[in-house]
Amino acid sequence: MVDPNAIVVVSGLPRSGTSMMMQMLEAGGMDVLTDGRRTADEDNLRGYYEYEKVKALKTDNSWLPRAAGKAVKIISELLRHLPETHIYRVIFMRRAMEEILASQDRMLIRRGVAPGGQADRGEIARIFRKHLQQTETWLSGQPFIHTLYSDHRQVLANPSREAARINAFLNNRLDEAAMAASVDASLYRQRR
Amino acid sequence: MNEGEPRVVVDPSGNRVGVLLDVDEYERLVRASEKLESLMAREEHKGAGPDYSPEEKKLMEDRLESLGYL
Repeated sequence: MVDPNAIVVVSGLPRSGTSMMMQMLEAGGMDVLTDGRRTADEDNLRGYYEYEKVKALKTDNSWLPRAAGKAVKIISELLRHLPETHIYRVIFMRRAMEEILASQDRMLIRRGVAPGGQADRGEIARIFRKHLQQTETWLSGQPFIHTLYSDHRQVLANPSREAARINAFLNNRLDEAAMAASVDASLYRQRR
Repeated sequence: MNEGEPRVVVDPSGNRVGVLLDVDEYERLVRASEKLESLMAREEHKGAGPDYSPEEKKLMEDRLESLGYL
């Protein structure tokens, strides 16, 4: 039985499919905690589904009660700052590292930031892999966090099956058909 | 001596140098101490965070900040 007040956290590295998962949850009928400050653009045509206060989670988690029973996007780097005062159900997005970095690079270029050369990319890939490994180990040891891993490619390839897995994880309270229908593979152009 | 109170050993000068405990009480305290150590180790590990070098941490945080996620 899933606590109806549990906070549903969509997590992963930036550009791993977290916005897509937020769209699926919203389409399925779940309330999402966003502030709409970061609006849709070329990198996320349907919006980012972000909540600005998440960025300051390390120093201010006073907003967390507002997320009770809702879904909120929190990048993997910030998960360790979740207090034990709540129960969390984390949907952690996985995606091929090459695809993540390529998508991040495109986003950096649009933001006017030089993404760095191939050597930099190799180094950041190594650090991100280490980060993911340590985060997954940490998640497995937290009694107040339940985690489901979802693969970006699998969501695109078989949205109905992934919608069913996610819905089961969230106590079958969502509209699976609507979740699956919200996935538009054509929006996710960055491939290996 | 009242039951339940520890029996204190004193030296000839009256300094408190030891405490006599019932075996059951001693074992209870050992168990409690071990449990506390375990909890403290868990908290310490939790607070330690990921095992990154300062350079790795900076590189990752700079990237996430440039992307607008921190």
